[in-house]
Amino acid sequence: MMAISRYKLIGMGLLLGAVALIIGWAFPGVAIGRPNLQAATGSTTMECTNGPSFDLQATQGYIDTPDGNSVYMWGFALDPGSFQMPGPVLCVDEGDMVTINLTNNLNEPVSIVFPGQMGVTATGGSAGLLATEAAASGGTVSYSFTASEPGTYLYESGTNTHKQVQMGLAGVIVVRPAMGDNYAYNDSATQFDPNREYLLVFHDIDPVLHQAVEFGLPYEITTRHDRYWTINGRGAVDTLLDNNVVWLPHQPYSSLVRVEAGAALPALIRYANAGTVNHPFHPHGNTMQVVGRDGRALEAAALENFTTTIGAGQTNDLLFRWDNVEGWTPGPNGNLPDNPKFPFPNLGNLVFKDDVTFYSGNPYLGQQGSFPPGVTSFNECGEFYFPWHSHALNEIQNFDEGFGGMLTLVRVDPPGGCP
Amino acid sequence: MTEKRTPRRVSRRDILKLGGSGALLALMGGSGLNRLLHNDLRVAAAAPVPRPALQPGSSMDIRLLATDGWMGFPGRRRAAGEGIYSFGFRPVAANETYAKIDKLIQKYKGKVTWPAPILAIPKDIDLYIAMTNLGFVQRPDLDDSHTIHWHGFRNPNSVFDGVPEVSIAVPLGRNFPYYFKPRDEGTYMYHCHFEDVEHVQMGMDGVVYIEANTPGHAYDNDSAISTAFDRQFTFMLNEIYSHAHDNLENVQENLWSDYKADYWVMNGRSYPDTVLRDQELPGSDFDLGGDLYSQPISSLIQTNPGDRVLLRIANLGYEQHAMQIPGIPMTVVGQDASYLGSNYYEATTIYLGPGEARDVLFTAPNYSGPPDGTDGAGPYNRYWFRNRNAQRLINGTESGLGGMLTEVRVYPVGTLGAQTGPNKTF
Repeated sequence: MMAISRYKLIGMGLLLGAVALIIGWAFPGVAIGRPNLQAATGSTTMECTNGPSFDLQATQGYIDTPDGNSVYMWGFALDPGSFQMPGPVLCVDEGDMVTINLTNNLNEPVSIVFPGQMGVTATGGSAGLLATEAAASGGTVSYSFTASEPGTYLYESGTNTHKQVQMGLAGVIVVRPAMGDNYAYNDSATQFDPNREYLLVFHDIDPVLHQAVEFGLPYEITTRHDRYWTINGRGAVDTLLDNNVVWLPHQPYSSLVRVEAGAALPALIRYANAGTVNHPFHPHGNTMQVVGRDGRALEAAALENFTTTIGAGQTNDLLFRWDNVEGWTPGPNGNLPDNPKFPFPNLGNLVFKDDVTFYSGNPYLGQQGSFPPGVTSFNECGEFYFPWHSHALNEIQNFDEGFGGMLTLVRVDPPGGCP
Repeated sequence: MTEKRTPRRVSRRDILKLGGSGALLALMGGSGLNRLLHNDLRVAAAAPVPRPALQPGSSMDIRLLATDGWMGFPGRRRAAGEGIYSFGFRPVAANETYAKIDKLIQKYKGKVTWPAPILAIPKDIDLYIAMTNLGFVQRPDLDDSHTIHWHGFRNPNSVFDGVPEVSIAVPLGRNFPYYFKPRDEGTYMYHCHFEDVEHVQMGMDGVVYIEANTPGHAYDNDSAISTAFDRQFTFMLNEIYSHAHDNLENVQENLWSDYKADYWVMNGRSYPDTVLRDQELPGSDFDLGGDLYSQPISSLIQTNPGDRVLLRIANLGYEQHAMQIPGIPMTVVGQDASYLGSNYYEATTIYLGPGEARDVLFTAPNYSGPPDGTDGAGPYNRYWFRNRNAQRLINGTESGLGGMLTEVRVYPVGTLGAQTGPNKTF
């Protein structure tokens, strides 16, 4: 009982984005979006804000959801800067003395806790239950700690947490190991391709609670009923869009993972669950090597799995690769053996859902085929796509609109990439 | 569910229009691959791709039928006309593997079974799982396509991964052979990925496992911790959100974000149906309303003392489950079709999320008498294999014990013969 897919809306979004750019060029006085809007980079990899010193603010704004809704959120943002979800990705090196200066532009006190960091000190602000707080409406506080252990960490609100974490006050800190930026940990087994580093931050949203906060109504956490599930602040299929697309001004981060078949080094995938329920995340395409959890290398205890249940507040570091083990390549030893008793039907006798597809029209990697009339393919050069998604399947929708929610794709390019 | 596209049918005129002999070849049996490669019949076929010779015994053909039907549970009995409406993949008789679709529609449409059959697959063979979409009897308006997704398969070809948004889906009245080269032994699961929020909950799921080459072992090269077993049982864990099933049966809109289960099941049955032996199944025919004819897989664990018992547990519900056998320690040797090796662990509670699988071994304790019960196989001592979350040991609004619960029955030495297949009862 699913409504129309979002692909066509994405197409329209591309068009609108282009129109907005043209307007911006033709009429430079016309403000389009936010003043500090970054240009889309064409990239989908993890986008760092480099430290070790950061000026953050707690602020408010709206995110767009693929069903056409917009949801009021709170979030951490750069200062100066505009609201974004999730908060900026703070990248530091092992051993750095990290300083985070927080200005609170919300109407209630806010603090930050740093799960997994030790020896956090605060200056300014006033004492709070879990951490020193910045007062409402302009209060400030500074936190410092030494990033002693490499890995993936959350930073999140430590005040009124049942409300502020749900409202979106969370982000990720990445601590680079001394061995180098192409390692997840100080462990040679965690080497990855530095051009293929991806971060997926999970969140779950009850829009009614957010509306209550927006309109100053009572916030009844016991009535919570999630309707949106996001990766990097976006519901699928917005998750597939590049970083910093202009029409999602407050959701800058992509979740599209790209690998190349048979690459020498794996991609590094960092999971961080900034929500308040556990999410069983299932990558199609291959199993994952889980090499780190909560900012600690698993080393000999590293495990391989096809679903990682990421606990609320937990982080995981995983290596992913896709290999063309059966040689899905046309040639004299083509590896799609025919079975005369079960012949493959013509594509015209099959279905492409909603007449749009990421399929290439050809089962061989790097090859494209033609489609029945009326079918639109987004495939560029015969690359493979596989979904990655929460296997609590009620979470892969946008308020009951399907192929959405906590879902993204991995794109497997043929060796050498698309021409 | 709202799939309305009418697939382009190949008419006789289309065939007549074809000029090239290569394209004509593509229409004939034995060149089906060309159809997949050169999907538009008006495109002349390129040189055919030679097919590697299939060694005798190295190929396996399986036929699965997608259709609908009703399941029986305590409080929701089919015989009383109160069964829970479901979709699923059902098997065919061995001599029907290559039967024509219209014949299968006549015989099996509306006669779904749940869960989908346990698929035990030898390693390194050429495997074809042909899925035929028979359509629905209760919802003829619902011309949904279906797919087969082998959950956890390593390095698949996207066209055989069964995700309609990134490959193909199989419409009503069509057949598609999913091809796999199973390389990595262990426990997996398979399910429909077409509108999966709905189709998986509606019952289109089952366990598939790849056998190790070493007979009687779950994994090859298992020197770090042995995976040898005497008996094996698969467990497909699910919840049922009966409200959604009722909505679908009655052509009502359903909000899947309202998900709220009221039955918790293993292998498609809730307790006490879980412990019924194959020999005790009531009814024998769909038309008689035999209640569990649609749920053929027993969850009863029967064993002799000292036997090593392998549990292949897969969860395709939308909730996490914590499974225990009070009184019997368990050893987890595999996770998600990966051998744990020296990372194996002993556990009282097996905790697994949706889409996760575990390979668990235990050694059956001694039979100590007096018996806790007697069945057709003999007297036995009873242990419980249960969900620790006691709220899930219910059947809807029925009173009494139910839900995700079954028994381990340990008989006196030598009572049971060798097991003939997973979940086979004595």
